[in-house]
Amino acid sequence: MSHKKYRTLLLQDSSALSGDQRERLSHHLKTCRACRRVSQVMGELDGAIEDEVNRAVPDSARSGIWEKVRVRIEGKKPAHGKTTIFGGNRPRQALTWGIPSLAAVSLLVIFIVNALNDPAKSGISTVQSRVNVESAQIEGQDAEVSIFESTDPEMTFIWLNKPESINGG
Amino acid sequence: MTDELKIIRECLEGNTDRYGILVERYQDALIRTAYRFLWSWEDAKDAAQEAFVKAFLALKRFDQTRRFSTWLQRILVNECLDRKKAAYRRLRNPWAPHLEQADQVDPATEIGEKDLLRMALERLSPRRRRVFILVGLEGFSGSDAAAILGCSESTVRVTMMKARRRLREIYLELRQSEED
Repeated sequence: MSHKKYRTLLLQDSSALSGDQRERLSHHLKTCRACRRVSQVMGELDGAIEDEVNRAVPDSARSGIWEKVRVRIEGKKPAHGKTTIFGGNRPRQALTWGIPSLAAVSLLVIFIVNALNDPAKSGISTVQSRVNVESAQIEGQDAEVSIFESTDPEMTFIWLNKPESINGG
Repeated sequence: MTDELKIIRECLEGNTDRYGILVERYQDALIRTAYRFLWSWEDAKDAAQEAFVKAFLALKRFDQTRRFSTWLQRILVNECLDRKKAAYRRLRNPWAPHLEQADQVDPATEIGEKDLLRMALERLSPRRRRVFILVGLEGFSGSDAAAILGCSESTVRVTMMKARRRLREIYLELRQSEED
């Protein structure tokens, strides 16, 4: 096994090593000073972790917690939680999504109200139309002139019902 | 019904004083966990206090089929992460240079093994650090850590393995750079 492989083994949690790996590693450590140093540092780390695990909470940190919590919750009843607009249960998310959404909805409402009050300004076309049918004399014969009138000038047109079609001929 | 559930139901009925039993019961665990995230007993105490208040106010949302301690820890971890984010934002705020100076470590101070462990932990990715703190330092089981972090147990297991390995690498690098 190469030196690099032993180093990799040393970086692994010792409990994850097999019996064979452990035996070979301890043999290598007897002869390799650099790996012995790595092993020593890993031992230090394990010790530091153990100390951290066993660290007790100082009295100063735990004193008076309940008193302060009680002052803040007194007179309040547990609720179903904060109600926020659009953004889940975090105020920051509410700001991110809620404000732009509210702005968009407000703009839409303003646009609709304006459109209802003044259709011409809003750009919404409200075309009104009617059809007038009038009698006329064409080449001495009776005929009908239909005029389709609309507020949209392009939609206004006139058509003539020929005398043959009126008479069914 | 367990003793804890009974207390929770009494709190829901408006008996605020009964909540004190739960605070006394879990305050040490919460302060210790918060300390691993914030590395200051004063900040850890504030975070734990805030978590207790938030938990009380949201007590109606607590799923009574689950463990209260895990739910409480989840609120605490979120509180600690919010505090860390806020501190980070303050540090990045160009209008508050005094805060940056206050947080710097005096280079003349001798760095001990515990400080080195803290430095190594801070260099882990946030996800690995969270898992390592809960499982490696706080001793939570994989399933409890998964419930606290809102992920699967297998994610916790794999992340823990990677975190342990990376922590050893970082610690070794720090130790070697200190010796050079």
